[in-house]
Amino acid sequence: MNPAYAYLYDEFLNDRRYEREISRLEAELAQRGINGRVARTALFRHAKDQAQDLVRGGAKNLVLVGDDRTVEKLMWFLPELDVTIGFVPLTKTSKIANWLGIPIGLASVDTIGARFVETLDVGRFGDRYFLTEAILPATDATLDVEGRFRIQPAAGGSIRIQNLSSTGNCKDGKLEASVIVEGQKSRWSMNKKPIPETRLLLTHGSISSTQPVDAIVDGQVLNGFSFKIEAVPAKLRFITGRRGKEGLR
Amino acid sequence: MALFSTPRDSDKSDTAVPAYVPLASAPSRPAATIIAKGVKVDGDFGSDGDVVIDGEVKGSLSATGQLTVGTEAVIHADVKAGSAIVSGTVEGNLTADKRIDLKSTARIKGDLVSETLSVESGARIDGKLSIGGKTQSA
Repeated sequence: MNPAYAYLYDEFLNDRRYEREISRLEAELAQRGINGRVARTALFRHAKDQAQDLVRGGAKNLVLVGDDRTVEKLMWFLPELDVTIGFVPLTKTSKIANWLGIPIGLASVDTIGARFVETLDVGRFGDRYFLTEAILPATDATLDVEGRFRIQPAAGGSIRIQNLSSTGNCKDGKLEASVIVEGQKSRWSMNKKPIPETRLLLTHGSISSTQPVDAIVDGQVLNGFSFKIEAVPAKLRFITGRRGKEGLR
Repeated sequence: MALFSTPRDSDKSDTAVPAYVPLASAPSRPAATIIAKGVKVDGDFGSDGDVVIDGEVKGSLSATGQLTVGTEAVIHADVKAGSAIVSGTVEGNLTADKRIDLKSTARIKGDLVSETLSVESGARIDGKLSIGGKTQSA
């Protein structure tokens, strides 16, 4: 067992249909000498305490085993830990794995073993970190951008703050804000004519509203009147499958 | 190691490996900042590069590149840009380093300052014109 590695399995993997895949995963990890302590998240166990316990036990690499929801629901505290994060997606599809160049399934063990580490920005929404995005759907909230100006969608519009995404760069110290307005119905068609998104970059800002708003932050729902937003540059060390030209020299 | 290799035999047995994503080609940001129709901006809005306004802006507006004001856009602000193409409404002074193009639907209530100005038939201007000669940078 390699004390530098620890694995945090999502609760859904306790289902019997994952037994065989888990066994194969652990055999692959052992073959490469990167198997380590294992903990399983559960309804009545606090994932943050489990993660901190694994790090205190000497883990330098904390590998999350599950799907995108696994990463998202743990991300609110992971950047606080002095540890490198890995991801083994045991799922059919994973946007996070795709964006970070991590293969799906057992092939991701190669990525863990290669241990190519990138330092990524994370976002902060209120008191939570987020990796992918925070969305305020159908809101009349106002987004304050760096104290310079305020931006507000028309009624029914949405605000989205992105860090890691298919179009975003999560290593530039900025978040991408989009304001999405519902399209107008065309006289000639039942389909609504799409309106381009309003997009801009920000390092910090805030959301405010006269009514309580729901914000979906990495899949978790927050509710409140106002939230501070900021990009936290180079905060999260993550094992990825992406390689620059430098890596091939 | 090939950059874009075909799947190896060892890859085919398990799950497919996603396409290689070169680090150097991280997705690029949009070329122009767009304030779409239905969006309101209030404050000191400035951007490096080109800006397209189809919504509403109040306060001040600056763009180092080309500013495009759409037909339904309404700007209640003093505007500074590298160049400007205006089809909508501007209530405020408009200063462009190089050129201002007013389309037929443009409605300007304020002073215009630029090296070059073109005005389509139908455009309305209510203000002073200072055209030609060097202008200060935005």
